[in-house]
Amino acid sequence: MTTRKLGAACLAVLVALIVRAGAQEQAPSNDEFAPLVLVRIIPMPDVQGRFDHMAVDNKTGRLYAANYGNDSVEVLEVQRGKRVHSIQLELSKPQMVAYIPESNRIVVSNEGDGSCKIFDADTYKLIDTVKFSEDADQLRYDPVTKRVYVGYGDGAIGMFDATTNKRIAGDFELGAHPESFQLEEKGSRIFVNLASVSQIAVIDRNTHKIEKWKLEEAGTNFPMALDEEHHRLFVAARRPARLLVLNTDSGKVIASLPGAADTDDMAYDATRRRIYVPSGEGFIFVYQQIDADRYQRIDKIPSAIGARTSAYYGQVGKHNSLYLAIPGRSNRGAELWVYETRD
Amino acid sequence: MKRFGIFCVAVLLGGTAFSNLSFSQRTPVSKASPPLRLIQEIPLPGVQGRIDHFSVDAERERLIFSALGNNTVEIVSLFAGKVVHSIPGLDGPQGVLYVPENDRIVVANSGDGKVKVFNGTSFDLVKTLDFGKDPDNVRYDPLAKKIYVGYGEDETGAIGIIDATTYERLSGDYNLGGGHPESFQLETSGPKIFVNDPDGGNVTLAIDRKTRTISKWQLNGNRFNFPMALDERDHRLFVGTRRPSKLIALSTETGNIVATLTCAGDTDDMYYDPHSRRVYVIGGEGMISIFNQKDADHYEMRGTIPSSIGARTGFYFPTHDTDRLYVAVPSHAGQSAELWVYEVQD
Repeated sequence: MTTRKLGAACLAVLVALIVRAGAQEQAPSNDEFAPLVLVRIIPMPDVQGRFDHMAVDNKTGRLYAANYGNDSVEVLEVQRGKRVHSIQLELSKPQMVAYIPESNRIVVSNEGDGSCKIFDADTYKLIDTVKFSEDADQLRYDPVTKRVYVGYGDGAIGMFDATTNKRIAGDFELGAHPESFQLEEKGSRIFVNLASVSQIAVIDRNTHKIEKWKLEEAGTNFPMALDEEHHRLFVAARRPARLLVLNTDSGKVIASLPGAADTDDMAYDATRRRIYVPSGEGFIFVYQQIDADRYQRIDKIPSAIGARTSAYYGQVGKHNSLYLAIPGRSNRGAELWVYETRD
Repeated sequence: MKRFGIFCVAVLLGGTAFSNLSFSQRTPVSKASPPLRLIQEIPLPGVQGRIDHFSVDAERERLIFSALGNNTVEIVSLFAGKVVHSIPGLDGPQGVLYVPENDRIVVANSGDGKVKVFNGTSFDLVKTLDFGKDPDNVRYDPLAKKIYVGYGEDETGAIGIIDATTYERLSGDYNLGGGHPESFQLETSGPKIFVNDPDGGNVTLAIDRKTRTISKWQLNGNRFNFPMALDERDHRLFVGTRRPSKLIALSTETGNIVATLTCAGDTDDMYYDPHSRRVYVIGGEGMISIFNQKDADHYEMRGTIPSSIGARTGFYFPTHDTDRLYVAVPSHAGQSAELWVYEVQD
């Protein structure tokens, strides 16, 4: 090889590597055959700090993202690909948003003052405040009873009526702060992650009985998802990082797979029978449910460092999408990444 | 253009292995579980130049660090994932210390020789103490309510003392007998202060606070011993040297070297975690070395994790769910400064 050719070759390698480095910063390149394909990036340039949990209005495709570090809820119109509003008044370390379709309202839980703030989802006007003693965190809405369940304090799950915005007596005392929890639709139970003690609390809403399942193999369990049809509960443990699958009848762990680090959200996609677990390490882990007892990790899709909260709300508009919150980095603002699910 | 800076340096060095390492953070498949995983990059807007030492306000889950080249102290809320305050007007801040009992931030300034004390809530300046030349590392003895400050150069090198309730300078400085003190550690169950003294002949000193005697421990020809960590339970002291890049474990009773291992280069901070029995060495060459302590005398490298060129200081801090290592990545090649958060893996 002549010196000139060698120089050209070196330059080509250099350029290729620079392009690669640049491309990695923009967004990881898509694989069209991957189970999740990034289809849209919606910028939120002025939003700083850590994102927490999100809600989606399936009818309009509007997404509401709590940003703990920014004391705001960001409102995005996913179809139009833009952020339309930032709710900042009245919020103090917001942790989650729930959308109430019947009244077109959103509920925002706040760690700062322990309150749940209820806003009109169109005008963003504050309608009401429901107080909890401290650290209001995870929210779930039960459309049948029109109740909002609120995980709070150290810890319990409380309730309020979504039509009157009045608290309902009979909080479920848990003895530890509740992280993610899931409501049965066909049954009366609530499954609750108690991360600080590596347990799952099982509440019976009718009898008020509470059972606790101790996780032995892996704990510090924050996110949770439920597959009610197959009687399966999914938990992403942080210490060590494992995906645990439990039988909801027996409480037994029936599968355990290597998991994602630094997890805070997970979702079960009943259409494709897949589990999505984003990791702060900059990946989305995708598991296939072969059948109720067998699971396989089928992909580990590069995302962005710190992107640990996501939302999956089934079909929204024409697509089934996974929404991933990307916190602001030093040279690039915060973003919402929209992934389309693929076969 | 995140890793472009690292990349450029790697290309300039002609080290292909190096450039591979700079990309490996994005490699999608992990084999054996790495001891650290990068999970967050907190932006440090406007922070220029070198970043020096850290302290923690555990109650508020805030990291506090000296942005030496920026003449500021930055306060980062770990849970919010952002800088919540920046104290301006400092002069080459180096060591920083948070005192929880009275909510004070103590900052040692190399430029004007002053140690400044700030209110930890309002960030108002409440006291200025003159240490003459180059106050640097700061340590706290919560039992005696004393703050120790390494300062001075050549024959004036010493450890000075501040009362942590009145914030008055106390008498009885420990003169080192030559050289500027770098990192030092206080025994809590004994009277000793261990001090790295690279200027005074690349030695580690053991000061007995009761008798005021100083023992001088040689480092077997290894030079430029800057960072230090202490394992009191096993009576072991860890010292990081830069020439060559070594982790040296010494007996705190005899000063004898019990182990010497190669570690990341250009190190300025190191930590020992007694629970996992691991030593973390943060190296400015863009590496973090992790060592397992098998027993007091036996150590093995657990792994080397790439970070970023110039990232030589950081802090080890357990949060409510996982232990984390925070590493300061200074601004470089158009890339603004960041605080990288590594989750410790069991």
